[in-house]
Amino acid sequence: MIRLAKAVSAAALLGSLSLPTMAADLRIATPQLPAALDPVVSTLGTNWLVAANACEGLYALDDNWQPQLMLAQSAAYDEAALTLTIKLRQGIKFHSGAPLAADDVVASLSRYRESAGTGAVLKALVASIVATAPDTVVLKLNAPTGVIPGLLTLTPASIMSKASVEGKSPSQPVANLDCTGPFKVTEFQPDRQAVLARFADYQPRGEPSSGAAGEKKALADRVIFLPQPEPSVRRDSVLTGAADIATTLPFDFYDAVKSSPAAVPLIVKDNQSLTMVFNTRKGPTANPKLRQAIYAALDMDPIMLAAEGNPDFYTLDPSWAPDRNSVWHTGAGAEKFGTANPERAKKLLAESGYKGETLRWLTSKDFYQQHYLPALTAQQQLEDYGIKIDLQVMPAAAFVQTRTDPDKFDIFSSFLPTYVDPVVIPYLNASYPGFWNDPRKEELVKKLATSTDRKARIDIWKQIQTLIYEETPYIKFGTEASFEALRKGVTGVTDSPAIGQAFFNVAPPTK
Amino acid sequence: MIRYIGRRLLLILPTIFVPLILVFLMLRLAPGDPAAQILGDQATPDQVAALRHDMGLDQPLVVQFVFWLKGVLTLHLGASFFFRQPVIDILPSYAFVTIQVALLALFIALVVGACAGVAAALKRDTPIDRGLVALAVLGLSLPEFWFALLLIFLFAVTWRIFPVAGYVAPSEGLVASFMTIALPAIALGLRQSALMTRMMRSSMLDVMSEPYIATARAQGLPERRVVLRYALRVAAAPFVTVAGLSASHLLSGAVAIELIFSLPGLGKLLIDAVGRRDYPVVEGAVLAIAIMLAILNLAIDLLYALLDPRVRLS
Repeated sequence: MIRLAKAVSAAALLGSLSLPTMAADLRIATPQLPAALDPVVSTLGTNWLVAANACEGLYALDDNWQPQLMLAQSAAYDEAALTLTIKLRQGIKFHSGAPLAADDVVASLSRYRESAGTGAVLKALVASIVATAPDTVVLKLNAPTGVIPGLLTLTPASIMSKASVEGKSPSQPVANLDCTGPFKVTEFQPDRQAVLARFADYQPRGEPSSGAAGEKKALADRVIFLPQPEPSVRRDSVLTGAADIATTLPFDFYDAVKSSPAAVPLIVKDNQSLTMVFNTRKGPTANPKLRQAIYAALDMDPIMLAAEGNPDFYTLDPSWAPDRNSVWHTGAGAEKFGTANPERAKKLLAESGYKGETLRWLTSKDFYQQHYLPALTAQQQLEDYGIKIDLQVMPAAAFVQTRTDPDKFDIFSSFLPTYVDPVVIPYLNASYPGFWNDPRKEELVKKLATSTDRKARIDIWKQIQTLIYEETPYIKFGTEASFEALRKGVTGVTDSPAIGQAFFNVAPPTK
Repeated sequence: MIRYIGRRLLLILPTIFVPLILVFLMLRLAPGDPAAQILGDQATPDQVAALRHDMGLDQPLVVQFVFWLKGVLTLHLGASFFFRQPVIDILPSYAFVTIQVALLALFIALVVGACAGVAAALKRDTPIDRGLVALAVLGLSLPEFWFALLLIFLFAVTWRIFPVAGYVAPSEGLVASFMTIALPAIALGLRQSALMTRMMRSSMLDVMSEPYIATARAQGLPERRVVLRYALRVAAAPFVTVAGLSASHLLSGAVAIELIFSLPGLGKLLIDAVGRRDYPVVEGAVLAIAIMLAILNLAIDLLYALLDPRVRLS
């Protein structure tokens, strides 16, 4: 028996010796890896994980969600604010060794503007993108706008070498990311691992780090992303030292991580809003009175508690830009957010003419329980007012398709993170499921898109949020945190939601 | 023999095509749009429609079926909507992982099942027999994922003998590779070994009461020789049939196990592809699994004839 135990231990030792890890590897256990590295082919943020660490844009987001120059040396509008001239930094190299030039920027952004989602927003705002000198790019705008720098911070707007993107449509992923970031991709196997190695020729900016902006240091020799769909396995990977960081953990594991001598928990506060979205085009919820009645009927604290399990992991904050550090964070339009008003709910329900129709609420457990659990609690609360809910739990693929048909739902569960600019919030798009198409909203969004003064833009956003609370096309339950486990000794991880999924400036434990 | 194999190979064709056609239809009739999955939340309906057109998903179902059938018959399984690689290039590496785990699990199930079954039969109605039967019932009642989580807790977290999850290919180190598939294979194999224990026990009890065993004993042959040479070979024939069924269970059980242990196998690929509505990958994976099962069943039939001389292949 002892011999067997020794043999097993020896095998384990040999096994661990053979595992492809290095002393300065930063191993990150993540729920999934994207099927393709190219961030342009999908609007889903989860698909940008690798690119966020290997690529950079002309701008990057700081902790306050403000765009700061990254690959751009300078940027200036002309007097009419119809031309944005961007000078590139000198001495920047792609991972392939080629120098960064204006042609690369034109090729990358031209491809991005043909893509879905925010690419289409850029296309609507920009008439042309041309290189006027080897280090100068000029964006001709259709109208004055303050949105462009924010759009250019997004991962799909990353600058890749012209050679790598040439001939590739936005739906055809590039074979490898030839970018300028502090790490370069050296291995990518979608269901096994993505390995990024330090890029020796990386040229960091001189400003202090803030979010994804400023100085970036590749403190790990390699960053290795390990896809581990099972949350308990991600947790155990950190507890046993097989991974240095485990992302997107359920809060149920908080005590286990906190009490472990091998790990520390990291709570990223104000991560995203949990929401419900109404079908404003058809059916009973097209009536604003019914939507307002539902909002007045809901007591948010039990809903968020059911979702998160602990009051430390959520806040009852009304802002539709949930990160308090964001310049877009505001309480405008929300009075006594979070508390039910039974009298008002009953009054509005009576005024709405609601006749007991069953409201179909689409939800899915595939995303995470935070979609389903708030819906379940809200359903119970609404039934106290005689509002009937048919909670339809379905797989993610069916959920995403069903909600595009206004004949098939009245409400669906959703979430909303902080966006760099309210113009790109998908809910505000009238074609987004829910289909909120209010002329006042359209006018305000247009003003927001075409305004260049920051203070004026913030005021317009406050008006939009006020309108959201008046018309109630969607309801926010609260703001949830996110939870990661770090192996003891990992340094440099910040609790800023603005940095997203980037792991530069993060060092693995020293041995 | 060769004619028999040829005829069985022909019979494999409907075995493979019927599930494939069902999968083709179910995928396209179930709600869920690959284009919407690819483009994500922020794509407009127009953008989704444009991509559907590019992918040929706006064609009538009959047209899609004809193109698909032509592709299958010529082994052009198409390209994954997400990986953007030919399915035929994607499948082998995933199938290799699943086969690796399933074979090790089958080996564990066979060895444990045979030893425990024979021991229980030989010690009939003793505490050893009752204990082994109780363990087998317990093993059959518990799902694989429960075993998997228990094994992780014990052998990876508590004693740190095996890695928690992940996969190392044999080309990167045989020992390291074995360490990554050992726990998944044990989790898969233990449950099947419970089934095999019961089967082997019952089969051995039947054989041990046969007159020829009594004759062998009467001739003074050592008990060990009676059991190993005369009883075990005959008792093994129905055991092999169960082993064949177990192998197919191992392939389906591998889905949950691959997800828990983060193994890049066919089961995980299939689940992800169904979730993403990656039609070509789902169809390719189902084809690969159907072929593997058909070949496995053929192999079991051939083995059966080798073990039991009364069986003739014709």
